[in-house]
Amino acid sequence: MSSGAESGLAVTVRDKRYGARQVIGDLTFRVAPGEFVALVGPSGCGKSTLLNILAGLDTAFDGTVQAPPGRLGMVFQAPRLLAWRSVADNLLLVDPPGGAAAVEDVLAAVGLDGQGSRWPNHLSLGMQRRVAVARAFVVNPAVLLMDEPFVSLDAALAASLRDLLRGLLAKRPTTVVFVTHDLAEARELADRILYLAPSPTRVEREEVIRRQPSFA
Amino acid sequence: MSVDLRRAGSLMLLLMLWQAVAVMTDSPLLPDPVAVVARMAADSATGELPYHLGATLARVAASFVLAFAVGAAIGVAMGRYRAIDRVFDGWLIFFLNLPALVTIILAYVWLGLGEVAAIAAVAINKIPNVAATLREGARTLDGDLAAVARVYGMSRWRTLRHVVAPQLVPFALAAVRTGLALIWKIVLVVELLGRSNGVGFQIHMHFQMFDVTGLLAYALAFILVVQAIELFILGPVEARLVQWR
Repeated sequence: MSSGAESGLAVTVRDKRYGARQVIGDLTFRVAPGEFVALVGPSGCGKSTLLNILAGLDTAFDGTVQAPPGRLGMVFQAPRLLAWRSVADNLLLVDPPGGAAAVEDVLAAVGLDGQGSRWPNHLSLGMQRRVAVARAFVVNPAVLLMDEPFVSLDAALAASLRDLLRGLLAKRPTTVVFVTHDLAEARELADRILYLAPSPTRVEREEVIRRQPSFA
Repeated sequence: MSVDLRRAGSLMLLLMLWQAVAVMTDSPLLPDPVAVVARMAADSATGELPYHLGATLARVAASFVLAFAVGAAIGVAMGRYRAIDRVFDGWLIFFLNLPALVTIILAYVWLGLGEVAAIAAVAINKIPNVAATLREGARTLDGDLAAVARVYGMSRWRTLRHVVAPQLVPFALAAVRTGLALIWKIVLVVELLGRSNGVGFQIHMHFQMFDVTGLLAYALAFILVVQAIELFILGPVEARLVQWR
């Protein structure tokens, strides 16, 4: 990611291919600073590919991603924790600006007070997802990318994690791109929804849920 | 516990069988267990047995470290990079199937009857084994976790130490286990063919004298040391490395 003149996120993907097959074409959108944008589309519509491009994991595409200066936080579909490191070490290893104290604080904030010394695979899946969210927040991200982070949880647990996310964002606002195929989830969390159409992926239409300070 | 008991019973049975056959044959070519243990004690008291055992252990350690370092580097490189794998895959098959005895003799012929040749011969026998095991490990590395490391800007070293290496631990442990078992045996052959100390050398000496008691005393001492290392070093290390499971 390169840092742009604006402090928001500006994305242009003119062309992304796997071999000869174009998966993303002429896709452009912006996210204002502090705005929460949900990307909604059917499964297999290239949402994860797009998110990998935003994260800088995939650089083989024609286009530009301008991100605000600062660090990136990311929550994946699976928790992706290091099973062989304690919960606290998983967070310390991403170099949190606040060090060990910040790790304790963020664990308390996600409801895992005093669980830092446990092994991740001794936790329930819901708790592991909380750790993944804590890891993303502990770096004080300028941009937070979330790839269906609450998928395959039961409804009540997913709802409690959405509440948790809203609470964390209220305390520490950041620019969020949230990928989901669940429209209700998108409407509950996002300021604005971008509907993606598949093959090749592009923005079909947008829906403003809450008014946000827009680009001048 | 029950496994330990069963194993102890099984060993006891072997000992009794040995004793019975020794009594029946009543020959100096098959001493009974008591005579062998007495010989072990006597040779330990003179310092002869510890000296030769120490020489063998030093060779095992040196060739093991060498084989592991080189083999792990080759294996991980082959597992990560297809081009390297293509170039060396045939070599691996060649060296995996090269008889240990041939490597040893060639090493002595080309490098002379010295310590360097001895260590090199053992290491060369073991390197392809380590490489093949760690190649499997490197092939199964989790790309999802590598992505996490990149997104969060982990340094190369930190990624290697905290993300990559722990995934290779089970493969490294497997290589250590099979590696030691193999190296112990090859070191004895190396010593028998071209060294003037070590357990292999002593076994050769006793063979020439038809001193079966001495031969068995060294063999038994050797087995005890190998088992002790398994039990008191490898076991605890392994338990520590996989405690998160």
